[in-house]
Amino acid sequence: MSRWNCSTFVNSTSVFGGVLAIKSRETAYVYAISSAGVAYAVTRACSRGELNECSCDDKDIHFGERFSKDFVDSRENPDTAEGLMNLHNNEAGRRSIRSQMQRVCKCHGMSGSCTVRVCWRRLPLFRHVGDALAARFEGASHVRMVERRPRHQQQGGGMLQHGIVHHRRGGEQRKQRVGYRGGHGQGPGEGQQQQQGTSYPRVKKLRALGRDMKQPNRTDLVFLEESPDYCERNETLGLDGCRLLCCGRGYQTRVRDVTEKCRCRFVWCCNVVCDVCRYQKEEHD
Amino acid sequence: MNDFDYDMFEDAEELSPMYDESYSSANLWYDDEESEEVVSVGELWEMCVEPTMRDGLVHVGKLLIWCFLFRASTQLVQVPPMVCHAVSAGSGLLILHHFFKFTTVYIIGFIVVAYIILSLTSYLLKKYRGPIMGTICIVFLVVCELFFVKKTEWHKIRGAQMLVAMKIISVAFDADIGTLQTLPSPIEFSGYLLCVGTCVFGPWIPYRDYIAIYNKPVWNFQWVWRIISSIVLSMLFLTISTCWIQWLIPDESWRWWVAYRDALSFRSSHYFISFLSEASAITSGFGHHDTSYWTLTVARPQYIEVPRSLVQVVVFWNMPMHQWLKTYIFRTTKSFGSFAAILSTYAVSSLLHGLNFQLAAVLLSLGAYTYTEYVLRQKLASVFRACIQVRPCRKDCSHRSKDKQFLVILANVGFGILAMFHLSYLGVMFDVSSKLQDEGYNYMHTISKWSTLNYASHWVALFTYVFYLLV
Repeated sequence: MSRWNCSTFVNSTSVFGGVLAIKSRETAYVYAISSAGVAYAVTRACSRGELNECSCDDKDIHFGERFSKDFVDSRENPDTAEGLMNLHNNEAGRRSIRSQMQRVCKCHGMSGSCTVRVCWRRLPLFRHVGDALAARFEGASHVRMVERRPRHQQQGGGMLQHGIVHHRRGGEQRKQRVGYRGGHGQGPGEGQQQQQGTSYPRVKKLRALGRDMKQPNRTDLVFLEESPDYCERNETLGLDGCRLLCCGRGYQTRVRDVTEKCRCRFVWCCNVVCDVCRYQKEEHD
Repeated sequence: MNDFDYDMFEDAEELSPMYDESYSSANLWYDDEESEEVVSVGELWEMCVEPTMRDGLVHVGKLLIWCFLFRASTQLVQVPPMVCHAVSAGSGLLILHHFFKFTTVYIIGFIVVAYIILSLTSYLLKKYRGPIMGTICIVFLVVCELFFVKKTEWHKIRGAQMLVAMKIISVAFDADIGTLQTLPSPIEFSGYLLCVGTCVFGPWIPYRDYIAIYNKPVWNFQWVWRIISSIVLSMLFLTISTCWIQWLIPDESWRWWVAYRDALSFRSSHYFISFLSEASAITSGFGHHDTSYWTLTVARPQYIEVPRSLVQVVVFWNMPMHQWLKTYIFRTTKSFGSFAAILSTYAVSSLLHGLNFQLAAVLLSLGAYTYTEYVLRQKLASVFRACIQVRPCRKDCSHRSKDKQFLVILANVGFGILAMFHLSYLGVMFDVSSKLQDEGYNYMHTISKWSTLNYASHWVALFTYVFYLLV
């Protein structure tokens, strides 16, 4: 059963305490639900006519999402791993609202038959959005940041601008390198760089930790570090330990001998052979 | 390598920190929790009324355009009758295809089989065509439903099949009685059965009315006015059914309010279909009589929502169908006794609807209730000599206390409230639970809905009957 200390601290500047400093799955959830909350509140206000800025032909949910994206995402630095993670989780939060916009249909026809179906949309209750994100929390992906040279050189203006803003120093160095090489035997990337007269930064992306693990998609939550043990008391992070998590009812720590299969591998042909590992595990409940 | 690319920076971003870290307005969400249940009118309009009306008008528009084209091509100038019937059948097939796509095949099959059998029986015997065709129709419907058609598809064409069956049976009985001198030819038959104004939603019209639309058609302003008013009323009831009452009575209210809401939603859906069928029939040219222009009425909501009795509800629910049941079923079986006649009327009605436990249960209950109510009020009216019968008294009735007296009004209002209670109970199961409404509600659903209301209405009806026996 996962429990983490998600109470807020009204006296300090950070709302959730130092827990968000650890880039764990709880942080992912917090970012996702915050971004979803902004999108939800703006969408509702638009549909109630409380905001003047909602445009006429934009559907309210699009405006809400766009607003949330501009407002919440603007703080994040897409160059850092943490920034990438937060941007991804914000988008996951917004998408969970969109996917929950229920389409409800009703049948009409002679004597209750279904000759004609009439459908309409309904904004979900925010509690259901939270529940959906909590389900995603369980299945959050552990990722790491990788840097790659971009394969296709048509990233467009956005990349270019980014390159100029952030990688001027690196770009200039690369430009010098290219110029030094001269015109022989250049790959397509180098040649184009020379043509464009500027350089493209290495692309930073998030990848699942293991090669064989499933890559997360846009609606999954991602995190960079494993969560701390919330049962250990840690003043700097604001973790109160098991005592508070269990609401003062006390808790027991057990040391259990766990026997399970480990180091499984496929043997030709055709079984899976595993070793048996024994180790001791500390559990609180 | 399977690269999953998701670009983090598709558009240029500014790095100025707009996001305030002291996000103390986390309470924003908690405030919303209380007002979350209340949806404003503007939101209701955008989320529900507008898409509903748009969807509805798309279907309505297509149907009415074809009806108008049919009328314009056959009733504007003098056209040979065979062409009229052919156009009628052709446009009917087109509109059926629009609504039902491939499943139209079953309707066509039904018509072909029915005509073959009808002509055979006409050739061999001349007397019992009516009952024979009735049995054949019901057998065909049951076999189709059980063995050939998928549930969702059958639930779509259930109404259209019922209309075709009613028309076939009416032709057979008319031929028996002598109203029809000769059997219609195949082209006339298919023109009648597939007429675009009456094939999808109804209403049932007798064969002689169909032939009459081609004689001396009238085009005047009242025709346009009648169509417009029918469309407006149907859209009104559509939005009431889908949006307004769901908004007025939320799910957390007292369960009898919720029952009333679900039943009202079902009845409004029925009025939507009824007024739509009126519009389509009038656009095709039906409803014109010599004395009064354009008086086709299918349902009268005012007599059902504020009812005098359940009998009135049954009469005004679908007036053409009530006419059909009275003429062809009730009068035929009256010779076996009045109870048998009523029973067979409701039995035929539920069989025509197809094998649907829910509808059968509702109709059967309705039959029992109407019978009880009729005999009880008859008895009470003769005992107290007051006008508290199921139908409003005629001016020259022999009762002592007439309609306008206070106690009589009170008694009638009391019976009306009882009728509304029964209606809520019977209509409660036609709700918007997604999977089942596409297939037709089944036994478990019906019983579970009725048991949450503790079978109250059935008990009340039982007491009423016992009361009648004792009085």
